Amino acid sequence: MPRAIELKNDPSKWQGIFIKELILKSIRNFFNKRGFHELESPILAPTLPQERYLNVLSTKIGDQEIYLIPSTERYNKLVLCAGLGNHFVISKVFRGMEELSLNHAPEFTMLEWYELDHDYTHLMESTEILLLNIKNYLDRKLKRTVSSKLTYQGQNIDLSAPFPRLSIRQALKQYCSIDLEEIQTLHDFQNIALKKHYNNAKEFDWQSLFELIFANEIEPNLPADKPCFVYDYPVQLCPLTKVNPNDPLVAMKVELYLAGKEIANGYTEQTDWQEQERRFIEEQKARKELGLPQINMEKEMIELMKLGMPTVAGIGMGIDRLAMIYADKANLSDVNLTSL
Amino acid sequence: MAFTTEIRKGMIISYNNEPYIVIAKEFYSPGKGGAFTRTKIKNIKTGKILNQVFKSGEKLDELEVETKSMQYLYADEKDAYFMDPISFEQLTVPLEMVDGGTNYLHTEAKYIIIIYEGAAISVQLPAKIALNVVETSEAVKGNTSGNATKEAILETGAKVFVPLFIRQDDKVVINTETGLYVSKEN
Repeated sequence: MPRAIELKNDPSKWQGIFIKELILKSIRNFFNKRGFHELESPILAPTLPQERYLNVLSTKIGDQEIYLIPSTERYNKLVLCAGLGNHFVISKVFRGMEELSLNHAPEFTMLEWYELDHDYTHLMESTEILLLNIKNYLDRKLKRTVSSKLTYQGQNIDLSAPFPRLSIRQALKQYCSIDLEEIQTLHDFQNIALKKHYNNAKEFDWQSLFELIFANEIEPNLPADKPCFVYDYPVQLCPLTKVNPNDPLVAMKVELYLAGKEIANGYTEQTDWQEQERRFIEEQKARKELGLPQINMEKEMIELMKLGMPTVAGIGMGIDRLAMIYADKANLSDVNLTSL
Repeated sequence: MAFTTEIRKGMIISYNNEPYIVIAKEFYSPGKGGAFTRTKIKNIKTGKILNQVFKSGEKLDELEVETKSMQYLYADEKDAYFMDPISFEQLTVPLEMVDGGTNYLHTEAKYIIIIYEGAAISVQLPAKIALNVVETSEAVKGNTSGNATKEAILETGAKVFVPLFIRQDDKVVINTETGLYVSKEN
């Protein structure tokens, strides 16, 4: 982990930091060439979109609680409603956590971009091009042979498109022998999990059961030698995403996995303000039931959505994890200056 | 009962009615989702290693184990032999269970051994250990750079890099986790 003193003692430790710098440059080039606006997002927010497990960091101005944004999504959507089209933001974002780990830090750099009149399938294509573009940029800048291949911690990975795509329905069927239909009620999901020896399943809610089974049974089976898109997540997990018109049990959300790490999360955005408000109230209620701290209700976004939100798809990408992989570093802190 | 937030390396749990030792753990949270603990657990009976994710706060059965401070006696090809300094009982420990093999085993150091159903399942080395240098080259004249090192062989057979001023028969303190030289013992 580079602390300043370690960088002083061992100059080779600058390498991860410099790779991240190059990645940020290549991202800006990529979107500038495509005519995207670069927007600066405020870091502080008076309200946030409700999400039931969001572990939010906050501060106070006078008596008012102010949140450190967990993503720039709130501001991206405000400007979309205000008339800005294709745009991207690179910002520090913040998440509370129990402890630091190799792949988690309370502050990290996130890229979010939004593409007007598109859906999540288009985001997948843009992501494929972006990842390869970054690799080519690094190769040129570091005077290496330009190639789609990289090695991360001994594992060869090929970034050439197309990346394999796996729907949650397929993944549940193939790796967990579960049909999405049979886990629609909490009771049924708990019973199936109990049979799979999740002995405390009766104490878990739907989202936790899903995340547990995903982490234990699906994630280890994702391809190691290619990036992979996992898409069409259960609607229960997607309060800000448009439901798939062809399959009402899933929402049009995609996650990108690379080297076993979750790198990006995007979706066809919910544009119906009434549906959005209903989901926020539902998530707020769930937080109350889980005994989690309340988050001030997001009103500004709903008010702006009432004026009309365009058809749009947006995606957030963790740049530190991406830099770890491109720099072949095991620890998130190898690509950042830190004092924690 | 224990909670996963308390999960720690070396902890012994019952998982699916089998005894496991936790060999690694890491906090994990998917997106803006819940909090979880990724673990690597090893079946004490079969040696099989599992990567298992638990929900934070999930209750796990911690097994009753015996913890003893023991003295190292000697080792053969396969095993190390320890003695309880109070009861003089001896205990055989497979060398593969000991980090670094015989590198950090010395009769003057104390080792914490975890015993489950009469058998050793984990050996905790002292954080630092002082060992004699049995072989090292003389310092090369003129090489005065502050962090220059040379190889030394210690009485246990361990090979470490030491500063140039260390000589044969000096005693050096080694960090048993990193295997790195810490200081010269006076």
